[in-house]
Formats: sequence, C-alpha cells, structure tokens
Amino acid sequence: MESIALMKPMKIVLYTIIGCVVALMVFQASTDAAEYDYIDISNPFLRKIPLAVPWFKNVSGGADIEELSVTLPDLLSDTLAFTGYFKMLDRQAFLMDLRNPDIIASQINFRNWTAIGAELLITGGILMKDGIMETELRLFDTIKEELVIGKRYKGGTDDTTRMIRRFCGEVMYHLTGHRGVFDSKIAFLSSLAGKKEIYISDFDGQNPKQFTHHEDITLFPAWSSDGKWMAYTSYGKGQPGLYIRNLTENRVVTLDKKGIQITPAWVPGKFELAATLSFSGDQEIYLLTGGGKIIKRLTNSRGIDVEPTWSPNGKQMAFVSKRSGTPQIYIKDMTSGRVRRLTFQGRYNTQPDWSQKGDKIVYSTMEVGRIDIYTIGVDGGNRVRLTENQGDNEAPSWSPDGSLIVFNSTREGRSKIYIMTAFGTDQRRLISMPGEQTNPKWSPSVISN
Amino acid sequence: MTLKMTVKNNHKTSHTKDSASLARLYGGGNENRLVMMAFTASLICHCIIFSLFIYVQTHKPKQRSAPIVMNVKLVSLPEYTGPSKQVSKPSVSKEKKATSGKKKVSKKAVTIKKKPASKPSVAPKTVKKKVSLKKKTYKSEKVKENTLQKLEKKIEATTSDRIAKAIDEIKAKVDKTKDRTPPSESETPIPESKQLGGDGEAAGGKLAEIVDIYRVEVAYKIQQNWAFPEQLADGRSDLQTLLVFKIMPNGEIKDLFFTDRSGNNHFDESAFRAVMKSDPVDPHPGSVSTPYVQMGLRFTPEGIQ
Amino acid sequence: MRKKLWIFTGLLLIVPGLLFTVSCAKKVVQSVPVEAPAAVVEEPVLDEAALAAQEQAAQEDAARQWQMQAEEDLQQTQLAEQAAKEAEMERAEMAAMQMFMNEDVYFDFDSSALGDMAKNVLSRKAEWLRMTMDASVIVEGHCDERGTSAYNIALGDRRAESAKTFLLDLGIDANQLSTISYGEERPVDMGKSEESWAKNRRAHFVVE
Repeated sequence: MESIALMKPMKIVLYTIIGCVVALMVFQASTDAAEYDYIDISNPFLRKIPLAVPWFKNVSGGADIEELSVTLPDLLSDTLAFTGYFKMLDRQAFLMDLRNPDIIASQINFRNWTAIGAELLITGGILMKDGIMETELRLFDTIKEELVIGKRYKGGTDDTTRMIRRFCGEVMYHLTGHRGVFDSKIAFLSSLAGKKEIYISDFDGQNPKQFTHHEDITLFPAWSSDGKWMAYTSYGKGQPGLYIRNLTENRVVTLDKKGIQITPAWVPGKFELAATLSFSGDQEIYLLTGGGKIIKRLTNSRGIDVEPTWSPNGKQMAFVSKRSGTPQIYIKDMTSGRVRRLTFQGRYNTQPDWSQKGDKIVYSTMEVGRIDIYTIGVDGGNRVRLTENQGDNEAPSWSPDGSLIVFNSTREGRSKIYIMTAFGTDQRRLISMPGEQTNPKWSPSVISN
Repeated sequence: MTLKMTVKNNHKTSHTKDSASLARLYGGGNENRLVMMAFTASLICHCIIFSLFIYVQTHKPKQRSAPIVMNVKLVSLPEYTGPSKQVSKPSVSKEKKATSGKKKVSKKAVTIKKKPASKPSVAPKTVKKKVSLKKKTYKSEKVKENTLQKLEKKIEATTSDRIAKAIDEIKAKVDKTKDRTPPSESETPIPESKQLGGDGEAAGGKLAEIVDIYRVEVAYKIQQNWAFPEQLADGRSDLQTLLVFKIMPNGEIKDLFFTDRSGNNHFDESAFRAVMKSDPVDPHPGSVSTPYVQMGLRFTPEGIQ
Repeated sequence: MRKKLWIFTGLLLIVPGLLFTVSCAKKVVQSVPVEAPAAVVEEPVLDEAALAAQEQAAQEDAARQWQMQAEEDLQQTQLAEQAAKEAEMERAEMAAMQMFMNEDVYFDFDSSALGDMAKNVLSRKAEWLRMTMDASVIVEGHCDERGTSAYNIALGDRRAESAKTFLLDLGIDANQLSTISYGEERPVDMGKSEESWAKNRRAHFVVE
C-alpha cells in the first residue's frame, strides 16, 4: 500500500519529465523537417486575376461586323469584370497591333502578355457567312502558354450578348467550378409615390422591367428554384396577402387566410414554399404547396417567427424568431425537428439568406440604429462584417454561385440597389432608377436570357 | 494545465482512498522525506512546464518573423500596367534572431530552421537585424475610376505612413550596424568577391546580408506579381503554400517546387504563377559567387482578410 | 338718341352694381368670394367696341342671373337653416369620431405590450365603440422605420392584435374590429429622431 502511494507522485514526476523531453524532441524534429529559409508573402499585390481582352479579329473582313469587333470585347470585359474576379488590363498597354490581333495559340507571343502582367488572355474572332454570325472565343493561360477553353458560337447578330455571356459562363466554370451569374436575374422593389412594385432586371441591373401592377405596396419577392414562379406579398386586396405567380403564364394563386401572409421562401427543388402566416393570432412559419395549401406548421413558439430561408439541400431552414426576446436567427433541422440559435452577437439580427454554397448565411444586424450586413458560418462561427459606415445596408441576397451579394443601401441618400463580393469587396451601385429600390432577390441560375 | 490537474486529482484520490496508509505515511520520517522530495521534484517540473508554456505563449506571435521567416509586408497598389514612375517606397523588414542554445529551440510545430546562407557563425552574432530596401513600384498612368481602386488607394493611404516610419526605423538600425563594423574594414573596402572567401565573421555577415537583401528583392518582385482574388480563398485565412526554387546567377528561376500545399488549388496555383511570372529575376549581385541562390517563399492570405 | 345714351350710361352704372350685389349675396350664403373682384378688375381692360357688345350680353345675363339668384338665395337660406341644425348634431358625432380616429395608441421600440397610457386611450375608444355599435373599425399596426421590413410587419401585426385583444377584453364585439399591419410602410412622421419614431410606433384606428 505504502509503496503504491509513494510511487504515484514519483511516477508523475517521471512522466512529466518524459513528457517534456518528448515534447521537446517533437519540436526539434519538426524544426529539422524543413530545411529551407522562407520569406513570408502574405499580401497579394493584386486581388484580382489580370486578364487581357484585345479587340476581336474581323475574320470575314466585312464592314457589317467591324463595329462588333470592338463592342463585343468590351461587353465581354464588362461581363467578366462584374464578377469581381478579374482585373481588366488596359488595351493601351498591349504589346501588339490592336487592329490585327493574333487569336490562335501558335501565333500568340505569350511573353508579350506576361510582360504586361496578364495571366489570362481571351481572344475572339468574328465572321459573317450567309447572314449567320460566327464567334470564336478562346481563353489562354499566358503563363502555361496553353489554350484553356475554345468555343465557337453561331447565330444572328442579335444573339451576340447571349454568346458572350455563355462564354463568360465557361470562363467562370473553369475558374470556380460554377457557371456564374450570367443567366440570372434580380427581382427588387421600386417605390414611387407611396406604391411599391416588383421589378425584374438582368443580373447586371440592365433592362429593369415592372413585374407586378398592384398599384399598392408589394413586398418580399421570392424565386422558385426552377426560376419559373415568384411568390410575394401585396396589399392589393387590403391585407398583406401572399401571391404565387407564374413568371411566363398568367397564373396566380392567393391564400384565403386572415392575418398577414409574408416572407415566402421556396423549398429548393420542390413546388413548395415556407411563409409566415398569422391567422392563428401568432406569426408562425408554415409549409405550403405551390398551390397555396397548407402542408404543416414549421415553427411552434409564441412570438414572431418570420423570414425563412432554406439550405441548398432543403434539409434545414433558417429563420428569424423573437423567442429569446430579441429578433435572432435560428436554424431548424427538418429531419430531427431540432431548432438551434445561430446568432448571439447583436440584439437585432434579421433578413437571413442561405448561400447556395451552403456554408454561410448572410444577414443584417441593427446596432445603434444602423443596419449593416454580416455573414456567418452555418455552425455559428466566423462572423464577418461586410458593410460599415455607409448608411443602412439591408436585405442581402446571394448570387446563385455564392460569389456575390446584392443588397440595398442608403449610402447615397435614398435607398438603392448595390452589389459586393461575398467578402464585402467591390461594393458598387447596380441599378439606376428614379424612386427608392429595396429588397433585391437574386434568381437561381436557370433563367433564359 | 491538464497535467497539473491530474497530479492534484491523483493526490486527492490517494488521500481519500486509503486514509489509514496516509496516517502511517505522515507518521514515518523516512517516508515523509520521500514524499517531500517527490513534491519538490513535482514542483520543479511544474515550474519548468509553466515557464515553458509562458515562453511559448509570449513568443508565439513573434515566431512568424523569428529567424527563419522573413516578413515581407508590402504596399498594395491599385494596378500594374507598365513601368512609369516611382511612387512609393515599400518597406521590407526582416528580423533575425539568434538560433543557438537549447533554449532557443523553436516552439511551434511548424517552424522552419534558418540555414544561414554562407556562414553559420553569423547567426549568434546578429541578434536582431533589419534591412531596408528601396525599390520601384509601378502605377498606371491611366487610372480608371472605379470603386476597387478607391478601396485599394485607401489601403495604400493608411499603410504608407506606417511603412514610411518603418523604413526610417530600419534605416536607422542599419546605419547603427554599419557604425559597429570595425573601421579597418569599412575604410578599406575589399572587393566583395574576395570577402566571400574570407573567414572573418564580419565579412561573412556582410555577404549573408547581401544575399538576404537579394532574396528579399526577389521576394518583393514576386509579391508584385502575385494575383489572388480573395473570393477564391473561400474565407480561409489559414492557407499556407511553401515554394522552393533556385536562382541562377543570371536571374533565371529553376527547380521550382512545392514543399507544402495549402489544399486550395487556386491558392497554390496563384503562388506558382507569381513565381513563374517573375522569371527571370535580377541577376545575382556581383559579390555572390555561389552557383545558385536557394530561395523559399511562404505564401499566406493573411493580408487580404 | 339722347335718351338712348342716357339709358346706356345708366345701364353702365347699374350692371356692375348688380354684379357686385349678386356676388355679395353669394358671399353671404356660400362664403366663397372669388368672382366679384375678378369681374371688377376685368372690366376696364376691354376696348369700347367690345365693351358695347359685352354690355348687351351682360344686360341680358344680369337679368337672368338676377332672377335665378333670387330663387337660389331663398332656397339656400332655407337649406342652411336646416343643415345647421343637422350639422350641429353631426358635428358632435364627428368630433367624437375624429377624436377616436386621431388618437393613436403608442408602443415602445420592438414591443407590442400596452403601457398605461395606451390602456387609457383604448378605454376611451371602447366607450365610443359601445356608443356606436354600428361602426366597424380597422386597427392598423405600424412601426418606426428602424428594423427590417418583414419583422416590422409581424411586429405591427402584433401591435394591432394586442390593441384589439384589449378592446375585446373590455367587452367590445369582435365583429366591430379587424386588424391590418403596415409595418414600417406608412409612417406618419418622416423624421429621423426618436420623437418621430415614437409617433410611428402606433396602433391607428380607422372607421370604415
């Protein structure tokens, strides 16, 4: 007995010493493992990939498409620059005959491109044959000196935008594994004279068109994941009621329930949606069919539950609830039914939108009367602030590839629509229209141009 | 910490479990002494461990810039289009620390040992040394009006002050080290190629310094060519890519390979491209007569977060 | 010829005078004195030939208007007397209703709870509702501009509901009350101060 009692402290001392020695040896070993000097480089000089897009070659030589040899590369540049991934190099710096571009690998002197800093090069050739326009587009890696993508598109001269966007999609796919945002749209609210209606524009804010004509307050546009339906709330019939409208055919579904019917969110891949209804006297989230029938109630707590947003696989739903006293974001697991709180910092966290990549949720926080946009990991970690000191920034919505966020901001006075990258960089105005624009919603990537 | 807890717990259990033996234990003088000894030993061990912990903790942040890794913190400029005019002086700071003695064993799992360029004996002497460099950076003549640039300019503006200060500081330090060099050497400048062969520590130190300056210059050029959009980092700031290559006397880059990859292909690729774009770098300084200069770069995206 | 001239001159004096009196009569009944000065002012601008033509027309007009006005006067005086009696009764009712509609129930930020002030206001509303059994009322829930639109619609919904529930507890018939939430969509005060926000955080009552 004594010996055991005695041995114990001694053993511990021994182990401690052994532990120390082992630890030191491990450190020693790891230092020996690397045998080179390393200089730290932690700050990329360029935050974008330098890309050169010279004018296109007019292969057929006709004057009819001469103008396109300049406008198409400009469109291509603008389209790719929009993504925030590329730095377009100034054509003035190109070491080449601008009027006579070399467009195939065997002719291109890649050293001339790396010399001006280009890592990627896109060349184009256009030709007109029997009224059909052909566009050849090539993406080169100037460092590896190889062709990465080569595509030929045929069509009328009015199809050129589609051709360019299609190719831009290929470039993005090569870079990110996702075809980008070039075939998506943005729905938003525009208000004039106390009325708010839904408008839909191209991904780049071009061609805004009025979608609803309720002549009243219309709110919360929500795209179905196939891009064919839009659900929204309108005061057109007095109460804030839900409308489920087909984008192409003139079909509308409304709900016959009293109370508010707000914040619809389509379940990915299904003709079902979640929305907040208050006919029970409490604002709860329900699951509805696309035909407006209630399937089941999804939240069950006294107090406000609004703004559902689905994970890309539809198995989890984030939403805003006041169950803890202040509006916070929660996540409900659909299989287990369990609910966990996501946000703990801040006293007013609303407007969640789940990234299509699945890993992050973007939302807005109100602090000292100012609203700003944050992202947070779905595990509740890695909270990142994206906007600061620039008016109120609200209603963030992810692009379908998860690389951009569209939102509305009062940084220039009245509320307008802006976009930024998923990391808050490259913040810029997207839509120029009279009146106030709010509540943008980026469509999925399935809308045909 | 955990160790300490276990020790305590163990004592406790041994105490409570057999109180009879405990009584005897304290009664016997011999045993008592043994226990005391054990405790003293334990105490010493604890002290060692804790001081070790504290040492590791306090030195952790410095570790990055400790002997092995040189910090090249450079200004971000809006864009690069071609040579025009000199705009700003980037600061290149390098910290060195003695690496002798068992105490100075690195404290982090991922540490890289300094292999002095020419003479190992230099290391203990240079306790802390900083080198400043003056280099041209380029800025576009035709500055396009876009938000990105404004943003980058803002960054530039905020950092330039700091950098200017750092440069001055470094300059002052370099001047001091110069002052310290024996007058005999500074007065009669021996051709540097000769110095290479010399075995005086100061001479060796000078050469090592020249090579290090050259390395930093090369690193600077590569950093200038490094393009990486933060979107591709997927929000991770813990990426690390290690690249090693040789610089031939004419500046040609050879044998470029990864010694560690970040796991993010875009990131690794961007680092690789940065080196490839910089090839060839400046030729060796005249005083360097080694067949090549070995160079290692550690790329991390910390600066973009 | 001389006689005609005299008549002409006489008319020239009488007609404006008549017009003036007609306008004055109107003023008494309708209390909208707009035409009279206009007629006086316009007269001198006309040249002589036009004046003659105008004179002719005015003469006939005046005769007609004189007659009509006389009838109208009589009618209106009678109506006014009748209306005054009705109006007085109505005015009292309207005042009560206006007070009912103008007096809002206010809330704290991010709250739908009723304070003592709010309860007092609601009690007064209950009195009016009990007196006016045939009135049906919409309770509108509103929020200040802070916060986000969806959450505020839900909050406005709760404010309207909590006001309604209080009234039901006071025995008001549920059929008299309905609710609607406008969230932050219809502020009464566009200001950016707590004073303005406080005015916007309200339950507003509208009589249908």
